[in-house]
Amino acid sequence: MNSIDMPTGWGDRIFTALMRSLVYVLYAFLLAPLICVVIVSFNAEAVQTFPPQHWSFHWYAVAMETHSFTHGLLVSAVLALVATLIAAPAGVAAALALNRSNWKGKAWVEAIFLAPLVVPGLVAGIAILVATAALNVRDAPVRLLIGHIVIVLPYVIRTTLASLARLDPQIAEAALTLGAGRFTAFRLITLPLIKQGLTAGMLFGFILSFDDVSVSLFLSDARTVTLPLAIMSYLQYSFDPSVAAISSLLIGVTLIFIIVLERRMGVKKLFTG
Amino acid sequence: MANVTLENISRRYGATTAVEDVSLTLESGQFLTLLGPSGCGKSTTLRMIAGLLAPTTGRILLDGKDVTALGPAKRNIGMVFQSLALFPHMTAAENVAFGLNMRKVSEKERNARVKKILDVVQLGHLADRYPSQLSGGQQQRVAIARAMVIQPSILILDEPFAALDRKLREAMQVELRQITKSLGITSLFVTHDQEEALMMSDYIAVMGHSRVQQFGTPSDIYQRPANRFVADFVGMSNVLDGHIVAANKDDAFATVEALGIQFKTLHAEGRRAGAKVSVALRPEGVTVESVPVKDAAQGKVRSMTYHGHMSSYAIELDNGQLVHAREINPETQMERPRRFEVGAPVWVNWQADAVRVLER
Amino acid sequence: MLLFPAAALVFLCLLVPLFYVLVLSLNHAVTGDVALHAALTPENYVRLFSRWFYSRILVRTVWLSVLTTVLCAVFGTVLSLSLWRTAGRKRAYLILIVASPLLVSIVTRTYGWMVVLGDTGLVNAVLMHLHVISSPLHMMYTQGAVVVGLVHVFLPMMVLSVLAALDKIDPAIPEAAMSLGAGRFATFWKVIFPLAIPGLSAGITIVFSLSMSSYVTPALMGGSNAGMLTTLIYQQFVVTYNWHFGSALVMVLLATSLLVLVLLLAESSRRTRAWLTRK
Repeated sequence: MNSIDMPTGWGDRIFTALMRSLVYVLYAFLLAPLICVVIVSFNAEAVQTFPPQHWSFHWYAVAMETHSFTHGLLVSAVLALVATLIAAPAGVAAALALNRSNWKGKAWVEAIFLAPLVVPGLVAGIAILVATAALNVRDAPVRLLIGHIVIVLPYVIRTTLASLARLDPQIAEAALTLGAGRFTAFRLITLPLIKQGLTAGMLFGFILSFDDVSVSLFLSDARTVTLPLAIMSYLQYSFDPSVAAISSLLIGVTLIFIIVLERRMGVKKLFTG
Repeated sequence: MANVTLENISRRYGATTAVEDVSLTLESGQFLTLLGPSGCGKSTTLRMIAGLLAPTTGRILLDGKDVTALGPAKRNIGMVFQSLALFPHMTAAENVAFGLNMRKVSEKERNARVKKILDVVQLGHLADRYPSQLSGGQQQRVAIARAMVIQPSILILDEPFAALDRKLREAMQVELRQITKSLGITSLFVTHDQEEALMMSDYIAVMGHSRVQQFGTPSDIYQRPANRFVADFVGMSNVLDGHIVAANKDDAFATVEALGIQFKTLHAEGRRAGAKVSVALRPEGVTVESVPVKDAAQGKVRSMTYHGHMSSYAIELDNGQLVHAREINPETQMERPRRFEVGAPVWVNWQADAVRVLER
Repeated sequence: MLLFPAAALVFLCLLVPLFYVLVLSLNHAVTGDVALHAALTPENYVRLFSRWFYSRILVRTVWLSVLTTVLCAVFGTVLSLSLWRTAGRKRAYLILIVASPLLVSIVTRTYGWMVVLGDTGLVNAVLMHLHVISSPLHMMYTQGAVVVGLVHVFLPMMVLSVLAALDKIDPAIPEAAMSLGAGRFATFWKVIFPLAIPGLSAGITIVFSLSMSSYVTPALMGGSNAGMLTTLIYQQFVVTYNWHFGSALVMVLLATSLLVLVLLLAESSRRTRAWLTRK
């Protein structure tokens, strides 16, 4: 929107100034905890004093050596990766079918596929726990995988669907008239064109799976613990900056991912596909 | 009704200049059009007059009062936006009533005025419809009614008819002009469509490259363009290099030569013999013959386009210059139309009073 | 059929388990027994609603969620409006800043707040340094801390949701309103706000639902005074192994979220039906 930059009455000026300060405060509010985490990670002492008296990388080293963290990192990464790789093809297929169709109940079907977004993670996690227990599946990795696939799937469907909606259907039809089979047309034509939306959905799903707590809370056990859960239980009995260190690392990696993606795709696309 | 004066208005964005040193005056009750191609600065000038944008330098006066520092609400203008900007969540009547609401007009008076203006634009029966339920032309009229009901000092319209199809556009042009004339509203109109400007305006300011290139009545602009830019814009798409052969102060006529053809013309005021000039010529003013004619330039038809009631030609002259010509297809020759084939040799001339002589 | 794999996943991994939980909640509570029985009884729900100890937790959860949602709605709208009026690269970076908390684990964010609000944390350090207070304020482990944490977590979602609705508004519309005499506030209240309602409703439903079901923030920042429904649920499933009662709690949680969703959708739809066209 073009901001109307004509000066207006006094009431308006005060209102504008107040609003602007409020906006700055809100941005500070949003960033404060994250910045503090990073600052604290360099604290040489064990206590989270503010500001840090001495700076050091010590806690990063400690974090790297804490078994629960490294194990958790591995678990989270593998889990997110596998869940995304399974959810992606299923999601793309579903998006294709939804896009192509025009049945009466289409909105309802779409809603069902996006249901995981409406059901709180906690509820989904418990539901899966109970169901798998009833089937006598007590294997934590399996339960976790199921839960995480459910997390990733709706994001892949949503962004892919949005990408497909923007695509001219006649492009794929042109490929068919030129002799390509259905799958070939999809592989060579449609897929490259929806790549951006699909990647956004996969990335978003991966990140949310990696960061997830509410679904994983009930699905992990003593031997298979995701990183966020590991951090959380660490926090329950100890409050040293190694938590800050591992968190800062995660923030850094996520930030890099996002910046790289933003460069290639633009922020808007990232969140709406 | 107000008159509007712009004094040396400029608008710059950092290193770019959108509007440079524009001055004009619009008398009360008159209809002025800012005409020009995209990017010429007309919309920016319009927005400054409306109060949506502040000029970098210069003053804007409404009825002699300096309003440069005032916002749009305080200038009492009525504006019709290019996208119409109707409030989607309000009915037509509510849209129109909005300005009156802001002015705290009493409910009784408000309803009466809204009803009246909707009747004027013939939308009385659609007052309770939402914009999404109205056709393009109907939405147009709501936008116009909304701007007029507040009895503004000036009515400002930013390419309001650009999105309409041709028939509807022509109908709206006529209607708008009738309304503004009957109410005597000072109006400011912006368009890139030359025909629209010529048809509707009392005065036209042709803008190009951020400046006013010419200010005058429609016939001034059309028949006596001041420079190459304006000439080209109003359809004088042939511009030939020429020079003045002879001119003296006592004689109103001057002899000009272009393409080896000499002709006498009235419209070469103040030029001296030997001066280099540009000869601007409409395609309609070019005569094309299939047989050699005295005082004509020879060439070949490069392309021909049939438009129904006329045909247009691109003719490549022997000296390499391209000339555009247009001819009405006479009805008597519908069966044997006199049209030139591509590649046919032709001879090209013009009538002396169809040209305009400009600075080179 | 292309839909099959995804449909199977959603159906088997989510919908069926949910149904299972529903039935479980209506079964007689026996510790450790997970099998479904045909005999249905409302005893778990009765226990929840008849004992004040449990009901109080439900009320508190709803109250804190409402508070969080309201704060997010107000602040979120302010931020969205500000973002909407910004253009270009600056806007892209600001959106990134707003959205960045979403991409960081909730554990990290909550830990961050523990650092900020803790007795030796940022706020206290600044206030003590400025000699505003002489001993640290105990801000952690209170209901207020929980709300602060929740608002921080969910504010970005509200902003993105409202912004999406604002972006659909023709930018000439506020200009038209101002040209007709509306001041900044009148333009916002009468013109922009009604058009942003779809985005605001979507944001409100998301934030409320997520607040109700949030575990980490209340658990880490709330302490014993701020026990929420989720902590209670956790106890049933992991500590006392009363899965039947826990299931009832879960169902109540789900039902509350869905109820709010439906109510808000209906209300928003009612307000916008006349003029909002769907492509």
